[in-house]
Amino acid sequence: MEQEIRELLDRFYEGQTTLAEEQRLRIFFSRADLDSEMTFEKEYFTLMSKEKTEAGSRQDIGSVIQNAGKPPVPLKTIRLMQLTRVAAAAALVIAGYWLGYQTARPPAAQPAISSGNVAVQQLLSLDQPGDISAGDRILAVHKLAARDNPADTDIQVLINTLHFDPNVNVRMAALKALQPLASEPVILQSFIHSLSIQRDPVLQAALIESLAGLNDRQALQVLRDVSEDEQNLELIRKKADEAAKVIAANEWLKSI
Amino acid sequence: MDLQGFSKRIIPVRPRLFRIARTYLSRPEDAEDIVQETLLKLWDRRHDLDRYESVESLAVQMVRNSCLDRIRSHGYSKTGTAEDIAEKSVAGPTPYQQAESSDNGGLLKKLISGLPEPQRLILHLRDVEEYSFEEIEAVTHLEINNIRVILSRARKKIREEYLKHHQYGTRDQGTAGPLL
Repeated sequence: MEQEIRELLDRFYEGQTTLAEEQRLRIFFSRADLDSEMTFEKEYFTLMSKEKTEAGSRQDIGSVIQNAGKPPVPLKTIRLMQLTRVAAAAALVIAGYWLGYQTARPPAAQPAISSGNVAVQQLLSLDQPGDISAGDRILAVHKLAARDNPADTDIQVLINTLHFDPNVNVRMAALKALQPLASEPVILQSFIHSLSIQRDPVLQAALIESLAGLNDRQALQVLRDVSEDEQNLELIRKKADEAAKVIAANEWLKSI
Repeated sequence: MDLQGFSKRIIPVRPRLFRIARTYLSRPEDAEDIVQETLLKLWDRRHDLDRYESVESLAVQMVRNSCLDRIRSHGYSKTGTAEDIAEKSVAGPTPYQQAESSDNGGLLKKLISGLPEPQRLILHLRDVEEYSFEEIEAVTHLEINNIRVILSRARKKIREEYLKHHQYGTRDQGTAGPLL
């Protein structure tokens, strides 16, 4: 395997690799356990994948055009309008605060943990992924994962994120967050389901590795399906096939 | 091209245009301005867009030209060249630099931003946007063989500078790593 990768890298540096071959390199270098001689390549391919998720501000120019039926307003004008609105809002907030301070004491603060919990879950809500940046959603995943005893709702939010978040890096973060809990049947089922719907090869590879590590016969069918699906990359099909064979062999050993 | 076609074909390319503008301009707000201006120009030309084989290639070319114009007209300051970074690295990286490079590819980003223009654009189009050589040809008007050579030089240069930097970082005195 490493020899094959080294040969691919030689051609990569000569500008002779195809896009499919470069995809294989990306998948290979997304693995954690790598030869220290290849630190550069790991960092390079990681950065390239990360760069691709950068999308600029969330200002939806499409809706500006659609709503007005007119060309987009130059950004500088929009920024000036926003500045005016911010100034007006700030004046209102200050006035409101002053009035409130004069007339009543502020109510007791809400319990921080429970409101924080809901807030973090809302960041990952599937209703509004476009409004929250991928970086913030990854942070939210990490916050949920850092809890000592995650609630069922936390786990469900992570599973939904793994299945449906539009950004593959957020889905990867959710997978990593769920891995320590993988002995739970519900997590195993979520990995199986997710592998059946994911099309990104990096995530497919990570899910196959997770399922291979869990070594549960329930994953056999989905692994075989992935290995037979011609739309998947050859590398992914091979990986799924190998994982299925290992699990099947272990099952056979258990039976004798 | 009507409003629906414009929304369907141009708007989804916006994040890509922003990333390409960012390879030229260090300030995100400037990249946003360029993208916005490009969308405005494309909207003005919407009745002609259907005759282009790839509107995306046209948009990328427009972003590229606008970025180059802005750099020329304002004496835009960039983040530094690869040579600058190599020179700075002779003294050895500070703990901050080491953390930065290992945590988020900060060193790699600086090295890439220090590449000359055609190398930086082609490297970005191929390794970040995953363009085919034919698509890069449509944007740059360079021949595919030439594109391969430029891409090869860019990838080798980044690797060479990166390894040189780390070699200096791990030795008190040392020589540069071998060229590829």
